Amino acid sequence: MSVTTDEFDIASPAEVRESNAVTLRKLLLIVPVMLVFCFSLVPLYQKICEVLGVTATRAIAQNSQVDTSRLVKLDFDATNRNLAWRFDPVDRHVEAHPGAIVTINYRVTNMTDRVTTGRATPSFGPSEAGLYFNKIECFCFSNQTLQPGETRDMPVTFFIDPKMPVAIEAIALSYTMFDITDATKKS
Amino acid sequence: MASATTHDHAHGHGHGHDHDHHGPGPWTRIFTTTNHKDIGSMYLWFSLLMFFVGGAMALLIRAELFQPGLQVVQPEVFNSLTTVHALVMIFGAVMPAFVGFANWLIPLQIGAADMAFPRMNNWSFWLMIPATILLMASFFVPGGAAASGWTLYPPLSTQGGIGVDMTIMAIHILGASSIMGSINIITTILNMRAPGMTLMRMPMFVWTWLITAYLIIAVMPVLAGCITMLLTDRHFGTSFFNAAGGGDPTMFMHIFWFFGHPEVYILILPAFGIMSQIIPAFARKPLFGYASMVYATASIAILSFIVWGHHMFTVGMPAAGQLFFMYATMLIAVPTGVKIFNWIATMWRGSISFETPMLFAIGFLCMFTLGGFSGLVLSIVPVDITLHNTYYVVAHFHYVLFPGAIWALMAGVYFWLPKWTGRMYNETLGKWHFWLSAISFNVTFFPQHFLGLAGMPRRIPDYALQFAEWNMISTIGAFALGFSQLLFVYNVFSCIRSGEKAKERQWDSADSLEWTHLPSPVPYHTFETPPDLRGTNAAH
Repeated sequence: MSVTTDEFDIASPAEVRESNAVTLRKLLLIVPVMLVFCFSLVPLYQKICEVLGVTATRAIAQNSQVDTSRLVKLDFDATNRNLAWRFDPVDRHVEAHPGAIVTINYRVTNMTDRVTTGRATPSFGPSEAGLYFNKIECFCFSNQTLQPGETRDMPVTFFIDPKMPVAIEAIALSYTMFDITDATKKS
Repeated sequence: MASATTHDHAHGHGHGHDHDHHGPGPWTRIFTTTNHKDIGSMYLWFSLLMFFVGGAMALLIRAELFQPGLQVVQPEVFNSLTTVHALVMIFGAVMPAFVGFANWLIPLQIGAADMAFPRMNNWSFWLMIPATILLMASFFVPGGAAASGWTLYPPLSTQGGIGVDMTIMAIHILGASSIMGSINIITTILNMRAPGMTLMRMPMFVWTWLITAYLIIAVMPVLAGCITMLLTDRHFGTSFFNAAGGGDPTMFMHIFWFFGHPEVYILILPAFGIMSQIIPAFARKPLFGYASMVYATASIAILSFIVWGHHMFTVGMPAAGQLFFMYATMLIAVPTGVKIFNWIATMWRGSISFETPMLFAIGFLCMFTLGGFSGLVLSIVPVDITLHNTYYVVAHFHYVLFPGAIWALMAGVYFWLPKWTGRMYNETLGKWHFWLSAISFNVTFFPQHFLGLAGMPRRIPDYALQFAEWNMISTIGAFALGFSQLLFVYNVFSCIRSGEKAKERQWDSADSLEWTHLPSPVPYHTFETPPDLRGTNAAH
């Protein structure tokens, strides 16, 4: 940068080498700075979305305005499919305001003497209610592996979308537990 | 073809310069040379070779699309071909070709003896070879080459086989090579100009490269970080882009296009520079609006950092984001328009002659503007939502890259061949090359606008029957276009071997230092004492 103007005397090779080395160091600095910038985009992206209100979490927060004007009756049920597990809801009947976050539990016991893996799928009655039943946390999101004789409480955390039609006054949610021990061993 | 090219290159050079260079033999020399002219030539030969490798892939793609149904390649191979065609053309053909021009011309045009870091220069060239080998070899590993498109979007790119890892490594190495090249170019331009060669007296080609080099240093590390995250997602259990682990594939697109959009200007700004050298020379008038050209180039470079979202209007962006990226994108048309109008104003009432470089330059002006217009169409969000991922996009970016970047390179080669080799190319053949390219290019790519508007998606090996006619025409055009480029190769070789002797100032109005201060061919060592340009009317 030192040799740029009209008043310049012809620089000696050593001077040019010196100023080149300075420029090289300055330019090389850009590389780590931009690398850091790239990785900081990961949290930055999250932050910017939050500030601009474009994240999915934000959308949920808006939906979860609690509608205290009505109560929805919820019935929980459990079925076992070819699996020697005891599988029952701990909380069978709950009433909840749409928008309120609720946690209920299912209890499961492995009655066999071997390690087994199960996977639950939900079903709603009426089926339309499934569109408004938002699960935040559910044991049905992942495979459940139980040791012989093990008992476990498994939570479901959810809220009902306040946009749910008022015609739906009660929801029955039933989980069916499938034995997928063989399927998981294969893969 | 491939091996013949490199072979002749080494020998042609050895003979041309043996008398003034008493170093090692030609084979040792291509590994050890630090001379900017040698390295410039090596870059140019390498990119010519890769141009044909990438072109062969394009022809395979077009052959498959000649008719509906699967005839030539399987879908997996087809996907790999579209992916590697793009990577080879971008990182193997266009970028190295411009770096070749930079190596050859920047020291000559600013009156420097060589590049600032000659050894690093040699390194940046030779890094490209292992990278290219990695990229090409990925076709032969289990799972084949990366098949996710050149953008490497997850989850496709987190799922592929070892070919994806090889591609990632290749891009890492090519990125390092281009960062080194750029550091070299910037340092040369900032520190090694001859006395009197002020920044605002530099030829436009030097200016565009200075700005491009800054773009490269700024965005290549972002690409490196981005594909590093991809690599750790693939092998080290991170979840940057893996939704199952809390990551977000959309974030990849944001990071990738933060690199990707400046990258497309990296591919075109040096082409603008070449245009700004050629058009005044053949219009026999100085470049119209030199200062505005400099500022327009800088504006394009700065704007390129804030428009990446227009590549991803359909990911579920909020309307505010879409509007921002839409208007920012349209804004780029302003400095680009300034450049186009300046070139037209340069030609206005000039004494124009239509030698091959000028034909390519005028072809560039017309076709690049057309590609720019389809780009404006795509920048409009509601239109983009229907045209996203269709052949309209393929037509758009081929209009800006083939008659844009590639024709500028062709024009540049024809323009400077007499200076580099001391011999003239065959003018008749050059004109044939231009007209065949111009016609076949439009036959290939103009129908793709129609295909896109009719809804044909990109990156598919098979398509619905109603697209058959235009695809057939496009394929015929593509083969004509591909084979027309052989004329160029023949012309370059015959020029080097047996062209007529060129004059010192072959183009009488070309006024940068290599034409006014140096004989043709340029001696192996030039400007060992810098020319004193103080008080002279240095040209642009």
